[in-house]
Amino acid sequence: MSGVVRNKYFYYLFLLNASINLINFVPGIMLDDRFDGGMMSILLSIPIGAGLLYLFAKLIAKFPGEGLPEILYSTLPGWLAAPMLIVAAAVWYFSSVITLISFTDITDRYINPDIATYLILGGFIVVVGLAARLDSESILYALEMVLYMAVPLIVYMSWRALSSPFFSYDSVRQIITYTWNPPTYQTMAAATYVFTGYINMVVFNRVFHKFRMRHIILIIMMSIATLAVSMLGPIGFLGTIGAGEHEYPAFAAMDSLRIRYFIIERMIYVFYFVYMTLSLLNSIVHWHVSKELIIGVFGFKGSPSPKGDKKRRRAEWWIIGVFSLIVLVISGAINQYMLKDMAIVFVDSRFAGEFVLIGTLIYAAVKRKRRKKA
Amino acid sequence: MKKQNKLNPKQALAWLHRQLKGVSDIEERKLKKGFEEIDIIYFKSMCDPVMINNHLINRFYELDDVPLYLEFIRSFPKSLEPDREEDMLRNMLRGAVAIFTRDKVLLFDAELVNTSSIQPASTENVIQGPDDSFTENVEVNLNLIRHRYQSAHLKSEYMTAGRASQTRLIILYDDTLVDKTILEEVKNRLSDITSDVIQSASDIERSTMHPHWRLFPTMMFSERPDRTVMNISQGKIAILVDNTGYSILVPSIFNDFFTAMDDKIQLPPIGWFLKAIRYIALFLTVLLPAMYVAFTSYNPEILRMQISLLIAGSRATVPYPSFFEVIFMLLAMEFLTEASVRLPKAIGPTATTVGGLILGTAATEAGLVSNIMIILVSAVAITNFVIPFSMMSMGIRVSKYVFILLASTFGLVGIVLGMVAMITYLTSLRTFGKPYLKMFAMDWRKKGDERSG
Amino acid sequence: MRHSTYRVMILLCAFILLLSGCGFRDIDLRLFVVSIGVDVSEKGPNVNRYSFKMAIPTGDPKSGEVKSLTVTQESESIAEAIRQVKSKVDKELDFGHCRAVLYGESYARRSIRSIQDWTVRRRDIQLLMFPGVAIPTAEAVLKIQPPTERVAGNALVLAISEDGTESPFITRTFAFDLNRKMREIGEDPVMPVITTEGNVLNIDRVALMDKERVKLILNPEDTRLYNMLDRRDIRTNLRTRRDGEILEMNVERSKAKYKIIDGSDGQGEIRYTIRLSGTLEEKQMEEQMTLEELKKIEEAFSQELSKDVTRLLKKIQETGLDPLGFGLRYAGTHWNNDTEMQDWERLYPQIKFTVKVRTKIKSNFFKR
Repeated sequence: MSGVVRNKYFYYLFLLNASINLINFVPGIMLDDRFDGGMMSILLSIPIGAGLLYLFAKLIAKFPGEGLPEILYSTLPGWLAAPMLIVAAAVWYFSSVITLISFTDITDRYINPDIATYLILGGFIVVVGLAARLDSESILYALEMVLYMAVPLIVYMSWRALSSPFFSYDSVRQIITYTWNPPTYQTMAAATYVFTGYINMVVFNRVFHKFRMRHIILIIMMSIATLAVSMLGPIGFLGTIGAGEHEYPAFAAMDSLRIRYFIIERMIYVFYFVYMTLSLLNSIVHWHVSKELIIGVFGFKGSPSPKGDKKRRRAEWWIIGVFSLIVLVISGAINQYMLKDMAIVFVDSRFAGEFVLIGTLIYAAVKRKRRKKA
Repeated sequence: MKKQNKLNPKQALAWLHRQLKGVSDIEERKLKKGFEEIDIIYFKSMCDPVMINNHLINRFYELDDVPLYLEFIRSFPKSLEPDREEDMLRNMLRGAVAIFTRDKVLLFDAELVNTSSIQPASTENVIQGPDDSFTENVEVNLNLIRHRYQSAHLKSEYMTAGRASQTRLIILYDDTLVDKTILEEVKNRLSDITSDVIQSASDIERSTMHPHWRLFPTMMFSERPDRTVMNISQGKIAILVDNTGYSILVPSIFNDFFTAMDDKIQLPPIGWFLKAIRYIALFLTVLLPAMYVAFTSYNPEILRMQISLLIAGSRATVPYPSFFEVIFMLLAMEFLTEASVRLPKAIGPTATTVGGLILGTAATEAGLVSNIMIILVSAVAITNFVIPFSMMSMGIRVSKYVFILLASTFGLVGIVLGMVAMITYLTSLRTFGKPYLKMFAMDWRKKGDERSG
Repeated sequence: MRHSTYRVMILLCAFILLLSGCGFRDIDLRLFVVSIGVDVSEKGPNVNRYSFKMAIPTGDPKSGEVKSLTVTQESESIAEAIRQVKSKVDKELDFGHCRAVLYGESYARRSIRSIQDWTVRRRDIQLLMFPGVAIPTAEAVLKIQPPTERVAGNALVLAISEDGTESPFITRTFAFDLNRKMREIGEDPVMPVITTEGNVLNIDRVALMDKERVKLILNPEDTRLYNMLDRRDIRTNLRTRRDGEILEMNVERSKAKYKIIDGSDGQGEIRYTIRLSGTLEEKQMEEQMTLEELKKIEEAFSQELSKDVTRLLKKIQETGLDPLGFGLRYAGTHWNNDTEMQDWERLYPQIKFTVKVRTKIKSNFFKR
């Protein structure tokens, strides 16, 4: 019956995060370190990220149909569970804030310089806010639809980029020769972001009842491809030096591609279209997860149902309202440099948070097992 | 009130006369044979005179006495003794004859059914394939279906809906294929109908589906028996409504509205091609006008320079902004469509010619509308008619205005926003617990799949 | 339950309607700048002549008339010039379709950095723009309207982008590529040279630049060889002489590869391998073709090309420029990141070139 989805939706959550990885703050952070340790952190991030993902998937499979709030409240004392949930929600929410604000900025730069920024951001917030209130299952279906439209286009664009005669493989080779420089924590954290899609499972696990992790090799291959394209793609088009000079390297690289036989001539608009839908979907997913985590603190149980109680609905509206307000306030208050700093803070704290999350889950799993035996 | 004689015939007759004051199609006959006397009252318009003559009047004189006569009438399965006067009247309104003896009131069913004969389908045409469509009589429709689905698993359950209309419904399903939870849900919703009159299939839809405020249909009306049978064989539930030439098919998902019976009749690759064409048409009809607005007013740099210059050139004389131009022309097209639906068939083509060709040409000549706009509006109109179900194409006709509004506010961004909103909206809809829009919609039939979970 | 959602939606719609209108400017109220030209001015060293070519859309596409307007403005900065041009035209300037930026020769010999930087920085100008050197001036090139032009300002772009004509003499380059090479260590930018001839444009030379100014303009013959080294599948014809008779070959596929070899003696070597295949188009010899004869002809072509290419590479080497990116390749194949560029700078001036050409003549049309 309804409320249960198949395993493939886990891969979609991963895929969404991985493809977002091509344009968000991650390539920027990695390209900053392209001469010192950027490549190395990619290499190192693959075992670390894949390991975290695998561990998480194994752990969450022990709690079928349960979200993080249920797991924490059943195994930890309330005074510990509540702040943990709120911190997790805040970190996850801030990633969507960065996505939304930077995409508004991209829109302002490349598509609609004439329209007021707050209006565009307002439009984003309305769609994201309304959609984040839907039940988890519907969001997953929407995600599936969008991915099936977007991923072929992403593959096409990547192929076009790599086969372009103006793609300078010599620049890429030059960066590869910098592989042996030691990586920094920050770049490592950024590079592991590609795997982070699994964190959404802390809420979406509620609709997975027989979750099992298979084909991790597929995920690893995807991540390698994504990381390579996100870092080396801009270098091939913008050069080893030039890649560091652009605010949004992926967009600048895509502006270097031309479609000869189509009514649209510049690839950047296709790219923009694809990434706007993906960014919106990503923000919807993040808001949904954060909202559910916070609602868990207030003691509403389970995933939202169409006939949910009134109190819960009111709480949802409040949370979404506060979320929207924070985005608007932040977008008014900060500039692009602060945005990048924010992204770095997010990436760093997220990386550390992943270990905390997995540690907590191990504890919870052990405790649950003992209780079952007793 | 509870007596052996459930109704007092004298009082009931008097009550009935009071109720029927001013009703002129009532027929009342007093039959006398010796000392015995009965009253027969019925609606002329609702009852079959041949049946009344044969079974009621002739028999009365043939049979020996009244008790025997009453026994004879009771032997008919549809005859009954009403408990209350209101019941009596309601049954009479449905075509029953009221028989008043000295101490009893009996109702005899002599309903006159005026059925239109089976007509070829008019709204869901196919190129090659069966042509029958449902009639307005539920029994005939059941016959049409049973004829095509000869299996004892095809169950039919009778219900009535509507306080005043008492419309008969038949729920049809194959009990080996149907999802029981959905069946329960359907029955619950049907018995929850509270409106007085149910006249058409859409009344059923309106009063059973949540949320009430929807843009897209979640129940399918089909006038084709073969589609109904196909859907039953897919595990869906068909509801036949009396007095409507449609069956209601539930649960219907988005994809069902883009399936024509042609797809099954043609060879599979052609069927896929046809379906792909319909989805492309869906995208074009929804997005083309909005894109025109976005490209001419916000983002002319997106198109090739040649196209931009062409649009700019043809718009040079147009005195108002692009969204006004689009809405103006689309409204003209909507008027034309509406007008040609209502017009008699003989004048229809004239209206189309006058409206479409002359108005379009004149408007461009006058410089009020750009050439490209005319091409676009006709493309939108044609693509809209590609969608096989009028219920769906109505929803889509409306939604393109939403997109125009978004495009004239946000430009291209608005279109993308609208698309994301539309997708999430559609995926959030449920029809009887089934997701309305989903990739690979067909896998919902594979229940009990081990991996689903 | 759902009613609250709809109330919110209706409110939002009202909100959207109120806001509608800002930023809304129809296409017929915009004037598309299709190309920009920059020249030096006589008024002073800081003042430049900026020319803007704008396409004027025609109402009737069948009439075939093409109208464009070129406005020239002298100013100290391009931003200032645009502001001044805006007051000369009745519509909003739109740079979204600007496809070419031309630098007058004398300007390009000074420095193109500031304008190039401006085009990359400005958000509505695409990175897919075609840069070029204009002779005699950018203004003169922009003002030319070839009779074959069907869309205003399009002829130049069609030629330079190779969407229309495909000529072995045209070096295609984009703004992003120029920008990359201007910054990259070990690769120098190039631009095509556009000259006027009556009322047609001629693009048959390439300008080699150091990081910001034009240093050397190759002649058409060398330009063709340069293109053959830079890109694949140049469709051109090659000529050689054998026994005093002219042979013409039509090249259909070409591919140039090179390898940098560190000599142990401190002198490096760049080994070029060029593969050509094509058909024999013209021969003046009377006798019938045989396989041995064909091999000899192929050999003749190879030697001729090898000689020419070596000469061109030497010529480029003498200027100290590196348009083919040897330096970047050297850096990309060496892992001593701190010292590799110094090594290269020592190596390049005396590096040796060996060019190996393999020609393959596939068929010689119908005649034997």
